[in-house]
Amino acid sequence: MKKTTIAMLAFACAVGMTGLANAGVVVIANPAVSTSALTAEQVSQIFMGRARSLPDGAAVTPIDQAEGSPARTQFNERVLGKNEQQLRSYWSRMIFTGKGQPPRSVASPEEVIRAVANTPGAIGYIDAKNVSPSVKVLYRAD
Amino acid sequence: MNKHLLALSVVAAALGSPAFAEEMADEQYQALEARLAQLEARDAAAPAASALDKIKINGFLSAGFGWADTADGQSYDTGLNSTVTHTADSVAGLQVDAQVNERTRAVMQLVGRGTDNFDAGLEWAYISWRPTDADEFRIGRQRDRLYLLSEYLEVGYAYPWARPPVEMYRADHPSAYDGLSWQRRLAAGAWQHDVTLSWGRPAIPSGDRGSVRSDDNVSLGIASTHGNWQFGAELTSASITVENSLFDAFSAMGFMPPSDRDKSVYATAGLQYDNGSLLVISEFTNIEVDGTLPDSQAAYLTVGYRFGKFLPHVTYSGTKLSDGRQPLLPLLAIQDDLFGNPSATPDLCPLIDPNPAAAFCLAVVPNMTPLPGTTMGIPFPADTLGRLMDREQQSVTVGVRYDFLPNAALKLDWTRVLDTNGTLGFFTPVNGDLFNTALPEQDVDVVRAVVDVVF
Repeated sequence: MKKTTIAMLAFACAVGMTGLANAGVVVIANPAVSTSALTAEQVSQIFMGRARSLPDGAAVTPIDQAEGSPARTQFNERVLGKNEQQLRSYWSRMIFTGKGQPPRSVASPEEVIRAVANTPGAIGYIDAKNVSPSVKVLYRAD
Repeated sequence: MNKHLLALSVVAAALGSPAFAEEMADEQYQALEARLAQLEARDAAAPAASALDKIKINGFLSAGFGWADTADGQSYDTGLNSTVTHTADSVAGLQVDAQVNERTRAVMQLVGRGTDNFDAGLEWAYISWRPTDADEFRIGRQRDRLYLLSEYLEVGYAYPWARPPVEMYRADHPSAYDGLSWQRRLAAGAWQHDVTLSWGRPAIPSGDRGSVRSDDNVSLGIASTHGNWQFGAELTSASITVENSLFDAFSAMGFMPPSDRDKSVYATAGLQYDNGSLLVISEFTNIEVDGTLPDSQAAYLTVGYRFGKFLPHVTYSGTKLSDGRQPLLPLLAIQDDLFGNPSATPDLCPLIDPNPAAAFCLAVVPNMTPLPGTTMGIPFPADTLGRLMDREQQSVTVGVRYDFLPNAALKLDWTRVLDTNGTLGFFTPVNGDLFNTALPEQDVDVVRAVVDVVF
């Protein structure tokens, strides 16, 4: 048991050592969600407040990460196709015409996983290397 | 053991730094475990906070300085003149969005404008009901959608200029209506369309209530998005009746047709392209008005480019009459001045000499316009009649927006008013003395500096 533990620990460190260089961002959801995959367009609609439910009809709650975090920057660029300034202008238009509010944001990838695992209908995005079995991957951005 | 292992693996992988992993001592690991437990406990206590999530409070604030190289006794647009003014472009707003139940919300927005001494008025106050994901009904006070930026005109943070082109976004039209609207979302592949139909009565600012009665407006609009492109079109039909004894008197004399539910139709189309670096915004509107006010058109084109936090931009904008100028009547606003101000020149001057007032009139006001069929005259030259209602103007604006903080932007705009084509353009006489005011010169400079904040 001890050998296995050390081996797994070494493996985890090795994975850690590869750093952020090749990690992509993935969109994760609560495992109870019946949808098995989403397109970039669908993810974008949800995170931009234009779709309030998943393709199967279930209500969806998007979870964002803190402004400036690497995962958020990658997500904005690769999935939403917008930079932070465009998003701020967009959300101020949406808020002050009563059309929507930006998604709730949490401080760390661990909190994203926790929020997604514990909230039915929640989806979030994290760096691919942070994925844990408690969540389901719906989209991979390369 | 499994749980510790999982936590350790996740943490080691997440931190991603070989140096950190090597230094990971037991105490640090314990500290992280404790932190995880703390967060878990906080999360478990969180459900109580969700009640607060149901009420969202947002606000915006614009504080600006403006200056315009106007002639004495004139001001430009929101009240800029050759003394630097602070309040003309300043606006503050607070919005409360309360989720009543899963499908219903109540939204209220209170706005105070510097031009009104920041008297806060309820700009929006409506209930929103979403029976399906694609439909939204709103009942209550809402913003008009005459032009594409109309709904969020006060939120300076949402657009690049210190103030949207004045040739289209004039300061003097009612901005809210009380009524009902229905918005439907349609998606077709990568296109997203929002179609909105609304019906309501404009909420006329209380100062103008005596002279303008507004009947119902109907409006239909579509906003479409496709990647970096946005397109919009709005069609609004409005009708107003001018109730004003001066108007009535002049129409009784055959000088103009009476005002009765004069219809005006606003047709607007616009587009925006934004790929994160290049920004292009353009709009065009055609306004057709029955009755005495002229038909007109207005348009603008803005091109900007983002360099980091800076967005310099250049805009060309203009408005012109589209049905040829006709003799028109004085603006309603001056009626109070005529009747209310005892020292003003008499509104109707007798022209026949035995009347002692005639000599006074003729001496004080040269070039009077006789009223047909009477012995009275209107105390201003006939060609001023045309000038008073016309607004033609072309201008160029060069500006830069600097996003110096995540929720704040500084804007500096320099506008050169090129030509008002013999009309008053967007210059107004300070005392409402339209009869004796000079026409604006060519090439008048206007400078605006504004800080916009949203929270």
